[in-house]
Amino acid sequence: MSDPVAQLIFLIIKAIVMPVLIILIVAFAIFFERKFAGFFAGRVGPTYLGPWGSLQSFGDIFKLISKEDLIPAKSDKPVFKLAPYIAFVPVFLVMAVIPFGPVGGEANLFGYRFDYVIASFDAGLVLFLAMGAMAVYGVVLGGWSSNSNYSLLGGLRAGAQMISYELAMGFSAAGVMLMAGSMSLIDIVDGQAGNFWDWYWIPQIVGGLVFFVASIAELNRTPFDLAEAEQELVAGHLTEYSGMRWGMFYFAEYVNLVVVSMIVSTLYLGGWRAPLEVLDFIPGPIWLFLKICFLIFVYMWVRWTIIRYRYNQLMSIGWKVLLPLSIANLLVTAVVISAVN
Amino acid sequence: MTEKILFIVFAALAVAGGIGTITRKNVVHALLVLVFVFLNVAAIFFLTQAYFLAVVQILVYAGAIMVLFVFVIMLLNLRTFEQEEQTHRRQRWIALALSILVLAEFVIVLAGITFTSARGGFTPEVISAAGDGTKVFGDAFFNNMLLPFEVASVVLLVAMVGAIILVKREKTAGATTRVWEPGERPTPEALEEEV
Repeated sequence: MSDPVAQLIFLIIKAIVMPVLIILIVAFAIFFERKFAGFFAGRVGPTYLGPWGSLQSFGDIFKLISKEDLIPAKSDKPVFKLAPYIAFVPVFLVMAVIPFGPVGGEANLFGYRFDYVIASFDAGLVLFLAMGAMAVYGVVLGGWSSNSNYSLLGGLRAGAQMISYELAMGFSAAGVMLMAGSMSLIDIVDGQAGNFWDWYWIPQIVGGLVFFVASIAELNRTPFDLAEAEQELVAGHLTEYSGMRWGMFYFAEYVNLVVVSMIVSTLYLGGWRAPLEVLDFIPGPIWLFLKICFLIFVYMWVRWTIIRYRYNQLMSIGWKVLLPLSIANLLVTAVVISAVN
Repeated sequence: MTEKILFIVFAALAVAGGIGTITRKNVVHALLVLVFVFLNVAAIFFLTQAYFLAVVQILVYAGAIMVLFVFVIMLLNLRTFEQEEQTHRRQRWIALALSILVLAEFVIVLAGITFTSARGGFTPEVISAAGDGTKVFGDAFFNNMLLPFEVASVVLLVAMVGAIILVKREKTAGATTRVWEPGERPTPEALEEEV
């Protein structure tokens, strides 16, 4: 078997295994979200299905699939049907550029070189930002096509929020690009070789925090979930959706949670690298998995601890705090790097 | 060979999308089809291994500019072009003449181009020798093309400031914002006055 053929086979295997694994993580993330919501509120959360209620997500999926598919008569039907897919697909595309282990180098599997990334791509970080921008369409079009006031307001809010926080996100990620000298996520992880104090979270602590806060807004989670503020807007852009179409939006949100956790750990927490060099014998994917679990827990912790902001507070945080901070971070990083060189 | 087939597929989809954009009556549908065109153009950039350009095409055109378009159209709640069609009827013949002119220009420029002659200096070999495509772009922007790059950014800045000044509503002299006492309930007439 020649090397290109082997690479093609590896590529197909990776492209199948990675989404399946992430979908499994998502199923358990949804379960743990409900469990943690219970714990934070002094309840027990789901308990009936499976041991400790752990199969709850699968029960939810069967319920959603068996529900009637309801499309409002006055909605814009093609756009209404398309919107869940637009929310869903971009999130999956980002997975292709995230490295989950060493890339390049010697042959390491049956005499062939196995790269732990689906696509080695020189603008991976920008692809993540672009796909985040594409995901706005799902929410905005879902809200518009429902032809309901609650949905339209929810879609507009989500659109305005994502556009404002994307800027801060891009600027803070640019700090990491400068440190690594590359936009490729593979090079960014390579730039963080060493122990956990060599990772970018120490020099980029301001940018990292801005990125984390902006990512909560991108994920539409509390305290920034104004798009579906149930006290004011019923369910925002999701009001008219039911059954599996609603399920796809919900699912896309959690896949996005996993993908954003992967990006945050790649940018600031060393990606697949072990926290200490002596622990390098444990394979990279396991470290990445542990970091994802930690970050998902932090996202849930924030969600169930902090209450929702008002809309004007949201806008002033985005434009008056996060954006100046991220620009200042970029400037300081650029000055320091050019002084060192 | 594969590249050629993929190029023809994406180019055909982009042209089909372009035709779709100008024939849709519904504004949001037209915008969505236009986003589809941008994605296909990005796919063609991917084929030429200009990854950075492809991703920026998605980020800037599909991600930023079109989202703002969708946003404004949703705020105004425009659903069809029908009203506009009535008011701009006289422009139709001028538009036809001008577009024939532009089409002729395109045909003249593109007539002599084949797959190989369209290649500039930046072949995949040159790009991989320089590191990656992003580096080649950076070099081009900040060395040879620095002046046009800066001029373009100044022009964009002027346009931005102009847009802000044009839409900013001046407060009429003497008008003050009314302060509502806690617990005071505005009557519909008072609200009408304030607007």
